[in-house]
Amino acid sequence: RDQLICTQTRQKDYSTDLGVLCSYQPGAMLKPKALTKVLDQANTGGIQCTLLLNQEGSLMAFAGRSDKKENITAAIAANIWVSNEKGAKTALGDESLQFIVLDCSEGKVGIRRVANLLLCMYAQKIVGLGLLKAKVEVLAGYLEGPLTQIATPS
Amino acid sequence: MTEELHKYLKRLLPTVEGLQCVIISDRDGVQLVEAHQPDAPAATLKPPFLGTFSIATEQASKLGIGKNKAIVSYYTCHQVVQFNHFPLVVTCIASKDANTGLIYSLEEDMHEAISDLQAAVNVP
Repeated sequence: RDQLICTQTRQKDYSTDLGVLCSYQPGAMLKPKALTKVLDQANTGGIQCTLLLNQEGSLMAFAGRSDKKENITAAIAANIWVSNEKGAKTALGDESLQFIVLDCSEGKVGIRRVANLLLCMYAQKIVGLGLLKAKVEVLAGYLEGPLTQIATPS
Repeated sequence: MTEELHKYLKRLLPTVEGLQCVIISDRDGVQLVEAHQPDAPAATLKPPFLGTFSIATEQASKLGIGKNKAIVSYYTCHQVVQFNHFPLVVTCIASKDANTGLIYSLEEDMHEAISDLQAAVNVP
């Protein structure tokens, strides 16, 4: 998990470069290549692709094989999550949405919150619902720590 | 017909441990038939909650993996399994520890009843 995060130790002042006064503060940053490799580890046994997106629907990372437009997929998945979450707030009070499975005729999608992002996994229709859920849960558990470190407060 | 359906759904409830209610509604969330246990959350029986499925299923059908058949949502203490039988929606609400697979199998058991209701509400 430490390989997902790199920490800058030098402080640099960009004021002369940008023409405005700003400075770069040391902090944790994600390594995109390492993140993609981690997401790709789930793409076995019928899992076609794994996406990491924010709740506004913007794609953060993607791994796998897909003939669909991933940014559109991310936007739709985020929209479904947000609408289900809002629906639950009115009906189920304090309960929070933990996981969604979308069962379609040609495949399944699992969506789970990780830190302040959403982890989304596409599976072929032959993949069992339980296996899809288990894979998403394991990957989410693995990413929770590093992503929480770099999560921006909402 | 609705009385028979209500009795049928009432008989279904105890077959899955933790199943709290089964609702058949239209796309807007208006109930046609329902049966619920006393511990079912009351607000989940109302159109604002039931109606969110039609938007979600429409969007899920645009993901490029075919038509959406069902959506399973897991919350802190409950799970909601909703089946798309256009123009009807079947919603099953259960505790989070209930067996999702058994709830899924209820769809097959209810197939005949849902088909009859679909035929009744479909405009030729």
